[in-house]
Amino acid sequence: MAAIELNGLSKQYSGSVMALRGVDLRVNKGEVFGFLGPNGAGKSTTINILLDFVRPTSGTANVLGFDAQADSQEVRRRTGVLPEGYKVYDRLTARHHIEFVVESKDVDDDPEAILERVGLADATDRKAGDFSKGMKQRLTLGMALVGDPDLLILDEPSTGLDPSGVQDVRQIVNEESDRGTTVFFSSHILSQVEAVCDRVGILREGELVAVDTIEGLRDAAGTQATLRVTADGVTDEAIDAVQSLSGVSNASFSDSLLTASVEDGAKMQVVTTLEESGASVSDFETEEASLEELFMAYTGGEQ
Amino acid sequence: MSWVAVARKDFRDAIRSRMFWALAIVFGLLSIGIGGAYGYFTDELARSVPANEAGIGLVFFVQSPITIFIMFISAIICHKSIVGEWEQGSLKLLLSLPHTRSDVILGKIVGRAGVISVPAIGSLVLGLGLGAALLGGSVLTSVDFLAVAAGFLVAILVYIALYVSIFVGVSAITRSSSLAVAGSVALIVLQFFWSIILSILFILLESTFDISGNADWMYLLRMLMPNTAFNEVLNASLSAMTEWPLSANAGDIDAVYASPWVAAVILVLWIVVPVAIGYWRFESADL
Repeated sequence: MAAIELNGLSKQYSGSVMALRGVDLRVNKGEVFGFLGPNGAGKSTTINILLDFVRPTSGTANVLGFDAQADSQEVRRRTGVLPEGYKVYDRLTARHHIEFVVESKDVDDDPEAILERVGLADATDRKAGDFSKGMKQRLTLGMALVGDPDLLILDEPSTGLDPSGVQDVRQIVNEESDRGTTVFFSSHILSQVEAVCDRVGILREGELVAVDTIEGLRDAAGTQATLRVTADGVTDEAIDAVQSLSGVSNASFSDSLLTASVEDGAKMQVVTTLEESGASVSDFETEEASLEELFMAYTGGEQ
Repeated sequence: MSWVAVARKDFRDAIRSRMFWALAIVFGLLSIGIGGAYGYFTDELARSVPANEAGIGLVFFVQSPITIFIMFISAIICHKSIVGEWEQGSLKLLLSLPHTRSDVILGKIVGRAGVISVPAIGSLVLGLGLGAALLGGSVLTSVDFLAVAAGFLVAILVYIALYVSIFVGVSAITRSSSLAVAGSVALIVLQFFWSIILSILFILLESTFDISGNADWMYLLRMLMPNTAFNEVLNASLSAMTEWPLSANAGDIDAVYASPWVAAVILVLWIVVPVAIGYWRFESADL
């Protein structure tokens, strides 16, 4: 069964561009799903629709078997959320915040145990207004964990956290995942989801441009490399000949340097072809594409 | 019933506001001062006043700063109750929990009304207590005094519900804090100038400068403001309870609509309509 199912989901804010254009997505139960994309790609809009903060222009969103719009209260009863751009209640203590969630969800969690888990045991009775950004983020994560939710939605959870905080989030995601919780984790930084996610979806300008496992993405990245050949006497015919080789694309030449995107088997063929055309090759190197570069390629190079 | 959780959270939050307590203490001291002064001077100047009349006079003296306090403090702590959380983002925390948007509005109204009740009732009890103690024991035991004081207690709760509901409604209607401020201030200012506006209207329409005159149609217009409607209903209720000449405005006018019941309907509309419009706007909004 799907934890999240989006069908043709579109959203146009009044008088503005399309934030989402027909997104179809299925996140399985128990999965840790990374939702990636640059800022403004539509990640928050998607999450806001899952929580009924925002109503879709067309399409449907189904969460844990409930319609995200018609049965939103049921969805939120079973979901823990770390929203983006939230604010805590400055005058209330950490304990008050957790108690409010416990009461709202009608569960009987122990606030101290929750705060212990997110590393705020020392700050239980301090006012949240005096917290650092990282502590507020931990507090909100604690609020999301109340009531052992079936689904955790974490919108940019690493914002404001130091490396040890990021490590803690990762550990909590893993613990929750081990108890069968589905985790939907959004970020604009690939390396943050790489370590925890089973699958990732990449969103760009309101469209889902890739959904794959990290390994699938790595394979896709591994097949492409950039080849740089230093050579003299390279004619236009030689460049055409290189370009026409199978597994070679984007060949270009300037200042004695030929660059081309090549697949694994095609590197030596490029060099051979150049030499056969009369050019003198003095040096060549290849550079494997990293996952990060692939992500950049998908998202148009913005961060 | 999840509005109860919202109300409790809101009460806890608002009651920790220092500015709220600063204002509450100023008005509390004001009511104690007024109660004390009334008790002291009435005792000095007019020993002949019957106990129950002195007592009823005391209640009226003490309640006036309290109602002014309620109107201002409601505007101050309620105008941002929805739109402020919206702008700042704490609404996302609130609504990521299983609350409906109507739970949020109702919880806010109950929570903030509860917060305001604490100093309002405290001021009433302290002001009346001091005044009555100075007037002497016979006032405290005069039945009319106790009945009127209890009536005022109920009236003050209604008055709190009225203004909290109006300003939470304004907060849910508007999409920016500055608009909410403007709307709240406009309503308060309009009430202060309402009788002047009506007098000008009277001069223009009746072609006379004798503004002590009273056209029938003015009753309805006068009752349009929440404060006048509230006072009309209050006076009518109290005159039914006591022998005191608390005749309502409606007394002088023959027209069918000149009835405290009309004022009561207007009062209910002020409690219900702004918050209903606010709910309608808030319910359909993208956060």
